[in-house]
Amino acid sequence: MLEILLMPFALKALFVSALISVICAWSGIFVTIKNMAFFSESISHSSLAGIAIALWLGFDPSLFLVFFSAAAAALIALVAQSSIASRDSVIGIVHATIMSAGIILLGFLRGGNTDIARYLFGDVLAVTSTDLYICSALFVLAAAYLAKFSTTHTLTCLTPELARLNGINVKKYDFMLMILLALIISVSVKIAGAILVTALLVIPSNAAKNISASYNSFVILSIVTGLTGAVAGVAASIFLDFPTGPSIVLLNSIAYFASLFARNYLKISI
Amino acid sequence: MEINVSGVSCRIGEVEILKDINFRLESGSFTAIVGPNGAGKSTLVKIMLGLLKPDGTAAKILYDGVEVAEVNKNRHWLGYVPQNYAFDRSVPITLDEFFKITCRAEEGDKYNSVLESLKLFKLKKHIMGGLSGGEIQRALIAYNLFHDKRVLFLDEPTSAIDIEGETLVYSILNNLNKERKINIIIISHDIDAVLKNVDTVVCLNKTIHCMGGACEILEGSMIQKFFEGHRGLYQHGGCHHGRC
Repeated sequence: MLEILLMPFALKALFVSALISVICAWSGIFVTIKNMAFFSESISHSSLAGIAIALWLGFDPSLFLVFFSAAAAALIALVAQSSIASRDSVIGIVHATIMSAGIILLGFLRGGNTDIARYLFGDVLAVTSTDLYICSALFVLAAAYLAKFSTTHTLTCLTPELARLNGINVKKYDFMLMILLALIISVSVKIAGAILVTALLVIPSNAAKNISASYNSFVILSIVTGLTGAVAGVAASIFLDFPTGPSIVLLNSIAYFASLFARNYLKISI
Repeated sequence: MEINVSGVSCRIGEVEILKDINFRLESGSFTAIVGPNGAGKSTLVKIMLGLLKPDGTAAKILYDGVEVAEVNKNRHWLGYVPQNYAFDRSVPITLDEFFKITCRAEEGDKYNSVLESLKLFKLKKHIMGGLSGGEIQRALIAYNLFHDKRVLFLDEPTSAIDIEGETLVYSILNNLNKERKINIIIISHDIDAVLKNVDTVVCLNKTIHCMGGACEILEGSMIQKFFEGHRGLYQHGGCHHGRC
């Protein structure tokens, strides 16, 4: 029965899920510290508009989405810098604008294309070779970036005022983080779907936060939680014929509630 | 380090925050900026730190004759301890990790001696979110010491701590001022505590009302006028200034 996991489609799905879950869980640390869940949610929902535009123009949605999500993040950052509205309000406005345009475009596409449903709910078992290359490239890029700049981002997210005083351009790093998250989300949509992708960023890091006794544990436990959820979710989806994205997210949620229980009732901290 | 502030004004919209501020602080001074709420104290400190730009082009902030922008570009020796250190207390980061991540501080004699001098050594494996207000204040002072700051600004350094913590913080600041020759500039509402410790007082309320030695300011009539209606702020009883 286990041979099924060694079949090419399953190996491809496991590999892509593992890459995506590790990078989501790692960057999710900053989403949690900086309270960027709403931003992540907006970019993932806006990706539907990107898919609609790509399909309308006849482009490959996977690749187009990478550029579209980065552009949406840049637009949020630029509007936030030139507006007196709070960042959340700006995110809400830009998100609503992009989504409305996307919904109108989707109207033109009605009656045929099933790609939208795949992006809405995710379908990692159907990843193509292009998806695999994009995922691998993103993983290498994002991992190299996080390895080099995670210390600086920890400082700018935890204590921006002190970072600024040490000559760090906090606005530049915030912008870089938004672009990084947008790129990660654009690729992760394929696994969890636009509706659930934020969960891959938010749940592992918050589960880890519940039981971590140090920052190192926080990062490591977040990655372990994300990776375990992804591998077990793909396996469960293959054996039990469940939809893959929701299976991964549900396992992450179980990890979150278990960590909450461990923190509050077992007083576990690692 | 001699500090010269000249021609500093600041407006936010129609509201005038600071008007033509000029003063000079001696090298190695321990200064308090005092004034009621809304007097522009925090704004002045942010301008002195180069975090906020004053109005116009005439304003100058010089540290030993060097413009603040130049100071921040080349050498980051202006330290700052904010009033309410806004950080998410639920983030699991130990004090040790905080210093190593944020200051790239390395384990060694200097690291241990800074922690010892601020009574933080035993707390270094503790999660920051579990530390008291006074311990956080001391951690932020330590953060600045790892960076070898030469001027240290503190916004209401004792507002969130008890009397014992307050005494400890002031004794640490006095040591830094005397032994390391670090210029200390604090913002405070607690005139009584301030006058026991500092050597220079700047009374600010949008503009500078009076400035001088701590005893001179306390015993003169200017501060009574300045704090009229706010007597409780300074009348804890007489001058206890150690340097009088």
